[in-house]
Amino acid sequence: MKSTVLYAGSVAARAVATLLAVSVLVFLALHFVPGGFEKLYLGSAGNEAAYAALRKMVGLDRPLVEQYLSWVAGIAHGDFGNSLLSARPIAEQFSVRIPATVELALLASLISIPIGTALGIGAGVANLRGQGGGLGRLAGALSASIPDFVLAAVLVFGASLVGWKIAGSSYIAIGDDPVGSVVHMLLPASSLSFFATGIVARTARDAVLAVRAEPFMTMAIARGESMWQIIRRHILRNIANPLVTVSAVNVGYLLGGAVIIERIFAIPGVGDYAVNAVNTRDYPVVMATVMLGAMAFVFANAFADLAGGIIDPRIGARRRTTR
Amino acid sequence: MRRVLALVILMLMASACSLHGAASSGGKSGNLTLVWGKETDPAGINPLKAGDVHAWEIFSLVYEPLTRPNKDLTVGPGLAQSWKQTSDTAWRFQLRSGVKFSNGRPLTSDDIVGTWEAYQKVGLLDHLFPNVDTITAVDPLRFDVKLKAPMPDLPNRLEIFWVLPGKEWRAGSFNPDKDLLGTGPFVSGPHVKGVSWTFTANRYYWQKGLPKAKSLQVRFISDDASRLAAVRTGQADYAITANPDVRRILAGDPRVKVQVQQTTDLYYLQLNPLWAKSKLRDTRVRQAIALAIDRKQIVDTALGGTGQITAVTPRALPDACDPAGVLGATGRDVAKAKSLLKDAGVSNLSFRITVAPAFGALRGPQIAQVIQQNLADIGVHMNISVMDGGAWLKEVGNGTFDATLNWLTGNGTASHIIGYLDPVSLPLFAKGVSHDSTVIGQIRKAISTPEGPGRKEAFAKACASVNNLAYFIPLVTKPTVIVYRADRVSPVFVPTEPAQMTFRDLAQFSKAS
Repeated sequence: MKSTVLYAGSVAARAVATLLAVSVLVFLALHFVPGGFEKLYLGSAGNEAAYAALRKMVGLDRPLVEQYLSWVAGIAHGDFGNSLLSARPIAEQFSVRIPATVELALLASLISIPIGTALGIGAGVANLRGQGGGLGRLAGALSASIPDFVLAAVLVFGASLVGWKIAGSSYIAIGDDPVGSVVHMLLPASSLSFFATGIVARTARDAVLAVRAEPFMTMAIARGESMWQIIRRHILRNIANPLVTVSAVNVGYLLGGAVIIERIFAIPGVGDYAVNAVNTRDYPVVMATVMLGAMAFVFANAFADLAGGIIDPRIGARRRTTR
Repeated sequence: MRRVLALVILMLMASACSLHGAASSGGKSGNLTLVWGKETDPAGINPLKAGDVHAWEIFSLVYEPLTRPNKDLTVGPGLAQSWKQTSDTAWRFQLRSGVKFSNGRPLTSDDIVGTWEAYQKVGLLDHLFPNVDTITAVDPLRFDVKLKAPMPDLPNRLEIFWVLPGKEWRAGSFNPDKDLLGTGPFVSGPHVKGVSWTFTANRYYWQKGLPKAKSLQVRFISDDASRLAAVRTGQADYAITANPDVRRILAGDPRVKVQVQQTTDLYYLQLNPLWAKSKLRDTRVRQAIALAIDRKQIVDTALGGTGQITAVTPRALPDACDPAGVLGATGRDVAKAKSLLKDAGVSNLSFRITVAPAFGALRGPQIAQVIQQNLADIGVHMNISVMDGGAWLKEVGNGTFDATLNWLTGNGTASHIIGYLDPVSLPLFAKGVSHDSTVIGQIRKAISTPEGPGRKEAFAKACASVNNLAYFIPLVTKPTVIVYRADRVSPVFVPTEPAQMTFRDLAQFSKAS
């Protein structure tokens, strides 16, 4: 028990160190990218006096170290600061955008994980029987080679042709209308899950093939267990770990913001917010959104690490001895 | 189980076909709710700070400027009903009577004075009204503007002077960063950032019978194809599109109409005559490039058949120069271009052009590709570099570029864009435009010449010099393409829009008959 707590502590320490490193890198990168907030805000008609006035107005005339430290201190207290553009609290925007992104990410995961797992197991089992290998590879290749934005554009166009009103302007807050919200998220979530489904399927298939080589599988077949029994008792248990890992990482990635899908389907998510902020050099917003994405990713990885040890005690034991 | 599943699927499909789809339309115009599929939510709502088109489009629903362009782009009355120039540097304006803010308080000349104080206090956009020294109230409906130097087009420039409630601003009860309170046709309502914004009719609006819609819902849809889909499916009544093929795409749908609105905006090619490393410092080389460009191909290929040739003074404006004077505008001359390059002793020329779609030059990369092909015909190789907006501003501001392609808005005066070619006028351009004293003198003279035949002549001289030096090459105009549901709404558009306020007559939009 003590060793598990120590392991969890080391995972948490790594996560905090990663987040700090990300914050420094993003802050420096943003401030060294050509063209400051004031130039983009005032556009081509600005002049030096107006630039200086605006920098002073929003506090960009302070030394970089001071700006960074005050920002980190704010984050530590749960305050993301204000947008330079709107002068409104970033947290206010997050209260709208995080639910939208979370809903999209969860729906995409709800589609990709079961379908991907089923396809992967099916392909793996078919491969064991010497059947259907080509079909599985074709499905995997399609999933990997069709970009989600292409699929999304096709879906939007197709839906608009048949007058399906969930294309184009598709977002409804889940708090306003849960059923309508989910319905309007179907196309974006389907587009987003396409690639993830392929990854999950490939991982599941490879895991099934790896399990096939284990002696207990030979024993199970020799005992005359049915295929369904083999899948339920031996395969599912043993492929759970790689599936949890890949799914957790994928959810973390999606929570960072599915930028293009959010733009195509007019979903006011975190990714869309981040892109607009980068284009306008709204530094606090960029920092906040990047940190949010980094947190999601880091926590998802940490969760996968910890869950891996719990699902498969052999992995936990290996980690404790090699730590 | 299967029945339950089938029922759920049916319910979901029914929801998809019905939920939140209905746009506009009440039984009569008075009950009309318009739905606007807009590209993006404006960054800010403060007219004293925000200067981008998306902000202006929202301001124009709530605020009104002092003057507004007539259909022929001469300056006409707005909140100011009339004006007269009392000396070279003094003007007197008469406000329209009976105008009220949406809180019911009458507009007075003190509000104009207060607005100018606010512009000066914020200090970000007061340079849009250069030479204005003081604004003082004469009586409740008259005010005087005193200039530091003559500015014959002052009334034109006031087409973007948004009038705020000066009294409330002074009292601190109106914060333009958070509040929208104007004399315009609509009143701001619930706003979900990045999702939607609702406006209702201003019951105090001074134009009787307007607005014809009782409310307006703005839905923010960034992606162009998705905006088109929203209009097709009836989720939006109208939208702007950047897709040049939109007429072909929508050809089979009689409910959706495409309207091309001319503007005073133009795409330009800037060739750097100053930078020591610029490969385009020789005037003959720049002239050769100008002559090799095929404007018709730009219009047909990159702009889907929209756009017209123009001089540096946008063609729709009074006093504008003849577009035919621009080198190569009425037809490319490859032989002459080659001859000029030969005279300059240039062969195998290769240079870099930067394009920044970030500021709305959405077709910039496509135009650059056409030019790239055109220049290959005279043995010139052009590398296209598509840049982020910030990087572009830095490079152009530093003057460290060979060539760049972008667009400018023309506003309502011929002096606006050509004025940018005076290095002291626009710092961004100062290191990338000619410092030739003759052409600068001609530009300054044209801008300061009062209305009359002399003004057009002065602009013609300045244009001729700019054309000859070929450092700023106007390519074609940049029209706006609008799609709308003709079965739902009957829109009103000005034929040529000078200040990017495509829907400036939104108050007159009515239900389709």
